[in-house]
Amino acid sequence: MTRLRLKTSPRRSAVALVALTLGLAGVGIAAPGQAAVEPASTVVSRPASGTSAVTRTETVVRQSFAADGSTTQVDRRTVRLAVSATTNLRGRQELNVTWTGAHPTGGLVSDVNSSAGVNEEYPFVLLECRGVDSTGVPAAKQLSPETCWTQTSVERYNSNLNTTYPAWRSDAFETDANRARIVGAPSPRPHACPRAAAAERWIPMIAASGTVYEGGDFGCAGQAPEASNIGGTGLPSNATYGITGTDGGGSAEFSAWTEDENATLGCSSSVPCALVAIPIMGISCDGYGTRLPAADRPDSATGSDAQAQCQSPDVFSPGQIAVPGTQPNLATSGALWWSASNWRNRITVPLQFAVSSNVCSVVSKEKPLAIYGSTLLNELTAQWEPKFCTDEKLFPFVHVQTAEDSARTLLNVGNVEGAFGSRMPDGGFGRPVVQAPIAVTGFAISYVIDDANGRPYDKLRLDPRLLAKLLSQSYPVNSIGKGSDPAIAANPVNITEDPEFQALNPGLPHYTAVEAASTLLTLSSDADMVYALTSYLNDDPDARAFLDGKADPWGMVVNPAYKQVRLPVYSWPLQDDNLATSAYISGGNNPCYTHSPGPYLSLVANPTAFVSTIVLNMQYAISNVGIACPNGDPNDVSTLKLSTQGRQQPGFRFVLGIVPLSSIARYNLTAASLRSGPPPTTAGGSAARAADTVSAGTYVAPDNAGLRAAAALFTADKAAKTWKVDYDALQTAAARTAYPGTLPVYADIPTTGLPAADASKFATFLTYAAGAGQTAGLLNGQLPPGYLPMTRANGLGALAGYTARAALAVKAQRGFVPSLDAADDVTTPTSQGGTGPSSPSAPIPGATPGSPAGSPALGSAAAPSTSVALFRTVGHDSPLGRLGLPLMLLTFLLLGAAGMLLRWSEVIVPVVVSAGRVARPRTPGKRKGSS
Amino acid sequence: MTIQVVEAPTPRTVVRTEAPIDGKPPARYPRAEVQLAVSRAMIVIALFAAWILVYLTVFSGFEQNHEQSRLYGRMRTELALGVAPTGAPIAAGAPVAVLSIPRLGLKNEVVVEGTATSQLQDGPGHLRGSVLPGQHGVSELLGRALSFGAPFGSLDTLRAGDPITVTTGQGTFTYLVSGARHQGDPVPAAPAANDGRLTLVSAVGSGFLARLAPSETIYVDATLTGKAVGAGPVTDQIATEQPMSTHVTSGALAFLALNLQLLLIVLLATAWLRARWSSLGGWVVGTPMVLAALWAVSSLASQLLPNLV
Repeated sequence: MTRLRLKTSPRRSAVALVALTLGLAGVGIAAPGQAAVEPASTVVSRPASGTSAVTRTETVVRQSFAADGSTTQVDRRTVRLAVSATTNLRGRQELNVTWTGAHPTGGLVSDVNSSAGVNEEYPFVLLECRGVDSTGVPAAKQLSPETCWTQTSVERYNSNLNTTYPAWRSDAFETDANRARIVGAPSPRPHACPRAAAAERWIPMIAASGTVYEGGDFGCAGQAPEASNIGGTGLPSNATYGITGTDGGGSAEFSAWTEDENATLGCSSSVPCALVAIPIMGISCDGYGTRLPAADRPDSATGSDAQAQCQSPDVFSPGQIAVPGTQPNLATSGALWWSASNWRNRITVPLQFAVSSNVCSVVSKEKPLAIYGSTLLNELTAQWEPKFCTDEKLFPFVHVQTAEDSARTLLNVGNVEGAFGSRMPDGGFGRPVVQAPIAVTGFAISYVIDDANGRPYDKLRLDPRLLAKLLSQSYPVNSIGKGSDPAIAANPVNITEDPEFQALNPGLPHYTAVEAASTLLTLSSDADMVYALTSYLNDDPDARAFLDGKADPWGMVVNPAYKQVRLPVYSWPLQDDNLATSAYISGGNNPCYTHSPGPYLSLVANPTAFVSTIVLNMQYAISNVGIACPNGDPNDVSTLKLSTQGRQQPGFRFVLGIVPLSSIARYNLTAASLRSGPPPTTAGGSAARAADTVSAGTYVAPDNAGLRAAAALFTADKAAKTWKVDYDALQTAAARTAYPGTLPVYADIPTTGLPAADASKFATFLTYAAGAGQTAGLLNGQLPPGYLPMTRANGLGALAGYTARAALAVKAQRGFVPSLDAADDVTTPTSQGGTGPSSPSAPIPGATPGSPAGSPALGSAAAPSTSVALFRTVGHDSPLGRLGLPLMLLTFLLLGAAGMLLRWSEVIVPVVVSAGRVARPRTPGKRKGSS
Repeated sequence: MTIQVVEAPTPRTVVRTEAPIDGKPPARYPRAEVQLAVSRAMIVIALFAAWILVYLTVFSGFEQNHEQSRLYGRMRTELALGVAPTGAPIAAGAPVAVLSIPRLGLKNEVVVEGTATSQLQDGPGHLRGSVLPGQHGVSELLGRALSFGAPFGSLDTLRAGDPITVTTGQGTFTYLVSGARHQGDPVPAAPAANDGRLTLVSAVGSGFLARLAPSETIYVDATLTGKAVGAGPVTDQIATEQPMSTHVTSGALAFLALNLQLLLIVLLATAWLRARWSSLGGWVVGTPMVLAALWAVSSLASQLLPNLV
């Protein structure tokens, strides 16, 4: 970059530098005193949720065909379906589906995603299907039951050993061929499959690749790789046998899958898919076969049996819970979701998926730029990566998710070129590294808790002391834990028994048998968000006092293993190594534990290495408590492996975990409100008084308002050149509306030693992050929900402005790290570290003339506008311009002097010589023009 | 000049050859003569370099002043008649706007259409392909940094907030400087609806003699205060009118050749007059003629320079 040589007096140069550096940044539009100039940036507010919501209404009927062919209408309903989002979907995004007007469901199962749902009567079936629901497209691209995903074989295979006319053969709307005795069976029949039953119907699964998985009895003829016969521990199925209440309404969370989650289904931005809702009405019975050709009709006795079979009364009344072992009425059960009678009632809602970062490996030839670190940016980079690799003005980059602190260490020693993280390493970097804010987000305590009615609770409030109790394993879990840790045996067994929790969350049931209610699922690997969480606990007087051994007002004490634990930490240490009592170990109740006993409370805590695991567990209410022993056979060592408890029973769920804030919106999780502001004054006194005190605190939800208030409390560390979360300020009255889990995420990029090409890319990345990237939205390249846009409107103009200036320092690669306040770079020229020359040639862009120096408060500092496009100025260069006139001047001076010397040498030389002498002899130069 | 003859020694054997022996010493110019000729050549070249310097920095400015006063008169008339252009097509070299930048000391500088070398000799030029000043969008004006009055000679001294006033057929518009940028710096986002931006483009030098060596482009952006008027028609960009481009038509080259011949004839004539008539008379008659021819040659030859220099 060119430096500007100023021809002004030194006195004015500072002012001029301010003006010119503003220009260099290319971002400064407005400045104090220029109120007339409006910034060109437009802050796009976050699109209201549900902008792509869809509502459909469909009239569904069930008919009956008598022996004489006359029809009667058995049932007729008008179903109204609403889907919360249908466009720009991303993998595993949860869609909220609600419906009204459907037939009430009977024989309810607890897990509507399990294959047990086929035994419900009149379920509201939700499936994700590949294809377009239109006869206007080629058959291969049409949507059909064969392209709908189900997890298990029983959902696609029906057989009946007793009768040749089960209900599905009486389907009036089925084609003649499909009303045959055996339909869809592969030929030849695979040996693995049992002999043909009296009647069979196979619904093969056609994969996106074209492979046909025939399925069959327990998948005997081949199943998709993602399928399983028993609900696996992996991703729970998204096929939903939704429950319609007696009022005809119902709702479900439907997880939309892309090819990343399910390659067989293969939905993507280019492969159209749809959510298909099938309100099961039952088979429109034509047992007499009046709609079949005469030759195919059953005889009258068989026909009347078939009709009776098809029209059998329902087994369950609406709203009745399924009774194990009781078979439902097949004609109205979910098992026949594919039948023509039900399929014709379907409501198809096309789903449009966003371009995912998978596209990058296809479209880009160049090696992506790798940036290591923070999982807090997962959702952000998921939207930025496809934008960067598909925009030819940009470049592909890849976010390698690692622990922030190790990424910083790698950066410090030069093994990686860029890192994402949320804090400055202790002692700073050992080389010039600019720490440029990319996003303001944070951590969240996510949970799934069912209230006394079995409905999800969504008003959870937690204070630091409760978090400290959970993390420090101070709840004894159950009698086994009490035995292993007698010191905490008097404590409440889990958080639902804790009066402090009950004071904050009144009315929640006491889950004494749910082990997961005594712990908070956290990370076993390092993470800045755990550092933030533990900083929050550490700076809270009550939580710290509890950890230091002071009993809470109700007499609960800390687990001695964690007494006076040193905080903050990057990952929560497992310090309780007490085994269960020997009586339990030898008792044989848990053969796995008997086989390999371990610290009991640590097995309950069972932190995981991956943020994605926590998110998955929170999405599906999977308990990570690692004390389960499914199918443990004391005689078979291979079965004696302690495992996690798995998915919890709906209605009785209780899981807590720490997740990145951006996951909350993406996966439709719920997040707890955390206490902020001044700690409520502990009155001492009675337990009731203490409960009042606890609930008197202010609890802040992790929404944009909470983030904005917290970001206003960031303190600018001018020496370290970074912004920090001030946990002490979170104890002040100003923090009453501030979400304490707020964290900035920085891109740490060296300003010396990078190859020019990479430096330029990083500069582009930072420029993007300071400008276009802060537009909230769900499109690729935008800022997903869960991140607070760094805009002036949000009081974060200074952060974005710093990132814009950092971009120039990164591009220049002169070892210069800009100061937080641009004015500081002008008044006190910095030549930090590097070998580069000092101030005048160092890039010191983006200053704002006349801004009050020394007030870097976020709200007040006038920052440059963040509206920076991604275009870079195209410079032009002229060698003639550079050399032409200086050469002329040189020619004139040299040749002129030489020529004159030659021409008048006899005059000039004596004069010069005589002038050199001390004694000046009178030798007048001869006036002689001897030409 | 005398020729010294070497006396032959008396008794000797004479060997005859076909050609007579040249007894003269090898002819050579006296040292003083060579010295004189070389020194003269050097001085002439030095004077020529000085002329180029002075022409580009001073005399070419007179040319632009002259053109400016002509253009200003024309622009005044057009503004008064309301026929000043508001959009393409505009003939190259026609006045399109009047520009004032107090910080640079520019007052009522007439902006011409087109940015080829010859148009920028008349004044700042409006880059074809961009909208006219005052209109919605980005309007780019190019100006010389060194020669022909150097209207944009010190763009780098503009500060954020400096006003720039432009008068076109659509009114008078005031811009405020927002910043300067160089190669690789981010370009500000496109102006929003009803906003306009004026980008002044010129060249700056670096290092020692920066003022004399404008070699790299500098862009100064200014934001319109108030509402922009609608954009008029815009022509396509022309490659030879981009910043720092050099474009010489064959016609201009032919004209340059003719003028060089004229200069040669004038020089020869002057020399002839001095030799045949009188030294003083030669000088008196020759100098104006030589200067006039030199000026014409310089004016044409300066089109070989990049348009922003």
